[in-house]
Amino acid sequence: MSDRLSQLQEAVDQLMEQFIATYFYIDRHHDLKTFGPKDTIAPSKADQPPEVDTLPPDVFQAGQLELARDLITREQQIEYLISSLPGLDNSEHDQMQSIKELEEELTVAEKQRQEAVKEKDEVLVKLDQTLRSIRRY
Amino acid sequence: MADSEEDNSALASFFPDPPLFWKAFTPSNLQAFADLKRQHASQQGVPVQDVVRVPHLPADSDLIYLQPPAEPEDGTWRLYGQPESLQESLQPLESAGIERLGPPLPGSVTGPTTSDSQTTANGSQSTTQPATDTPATSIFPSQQPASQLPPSTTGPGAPSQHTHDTLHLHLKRLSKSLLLNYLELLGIMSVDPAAGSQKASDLRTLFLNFHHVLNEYRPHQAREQLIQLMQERLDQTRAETAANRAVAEKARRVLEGLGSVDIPVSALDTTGGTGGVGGAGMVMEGDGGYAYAPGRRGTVVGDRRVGVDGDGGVDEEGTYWEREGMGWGVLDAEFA
Repeated sequence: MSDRLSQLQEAVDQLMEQFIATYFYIDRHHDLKTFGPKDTIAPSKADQPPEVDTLPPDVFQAGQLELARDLITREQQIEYLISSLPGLDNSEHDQMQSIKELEEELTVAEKQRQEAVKEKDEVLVKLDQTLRSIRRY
Repeated sequence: MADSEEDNSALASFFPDPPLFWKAFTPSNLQAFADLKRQHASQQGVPVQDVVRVPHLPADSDLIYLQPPAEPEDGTWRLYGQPESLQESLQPLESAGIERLGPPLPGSVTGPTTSDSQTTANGSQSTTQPATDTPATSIFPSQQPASQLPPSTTGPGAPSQHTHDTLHLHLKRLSKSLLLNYLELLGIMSVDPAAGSQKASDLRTLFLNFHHVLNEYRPHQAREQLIQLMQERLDQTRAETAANRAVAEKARRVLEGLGSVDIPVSALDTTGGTGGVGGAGMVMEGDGGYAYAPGRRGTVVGDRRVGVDGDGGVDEEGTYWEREGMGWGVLDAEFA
């Protein structure tokens, strides 16, 4: 779990990977067309792997649709991450201000905490003594 | 022959030998260095632990090994063949030869870089980015740096007053432009694959811009995260204080219930009979449960040492434990 900025950057990188993957899917699986009625599609040579691995039209369509949907989903994810970036309404000045305030509050709270711990310890000692006295008598 | 064998064994050893200067860390050297450090600290008027280096150590002594080397004077050094710099700063997009889309982030440092990297960046630009003069297609035609934001008037050192409310819009534009450019790329490739490189470089520009904008935003995010952490810490501290106080309060109530809070400790610790009687009396009056053996008060006080000494009768010991149990019962009732 990283911060939102890194998530966003990762999402953008994944979008790029999806671009590439989608591109190669289309490049690999499209079908071949002829330019004119006299053209023929040359049969692929036996000793070489075929340049395109033509899929049936419906499978190709479905694949395209799925990839396009994935792209849109990723895009929506990116936009969601963008809109959830924290603290866009604060300027650097505001941030410094609130950091300073928090620092002071923290100092006060820490002092109070130590006082409370001390108080607790004192009461603990008293309680301990009382328990011992009860045990003794 | 012996030397070469030694060399071979040194090469074949699993761990490398320690650096030659390890012998310099003798107790006397350490002591001398500590003295020098203290002296230097008192001269400079700073605490000893803040002194990292003592300048002008005698060069011929081993003491120079006892402190870290000085920072490089020009602020740069090479590591694994890569130039490194003391100043970790985000390289501006322009100096990397990438066109900036949209306005610069307010408060971001877009100062000029050194002429050295400028020339190399420009050199690579001419080969990898042949057509930066044509901007990437954007579905928002108004995406020019014109007047979207007032130009930053504050210097990079002072905290800026700008908010980042336009960043959302900018990033969304960029991401939409990414999709649109990809669509265009696919369209171009299906018609004329040779013309696709232009579009691909546009996409590259968009991606780099996106990342750059996010990286520019990082300091802001870091501050934001710091604020969050501090807030959490504050809440935690306050909760701890409250919990501690609650426990203390509860324990104090128990003590008040037992009625022995006000006994001075010395009275309890005295072995004399008076202190014992007083203590026992307090316990009695504190809780009605102890009134079960008013007649035995004197006996108990008298027998107080009996249990400790171990020569008491079975009867007295039994009473002692009975009372003990009663005391704990009262405590349990208080805490329940």
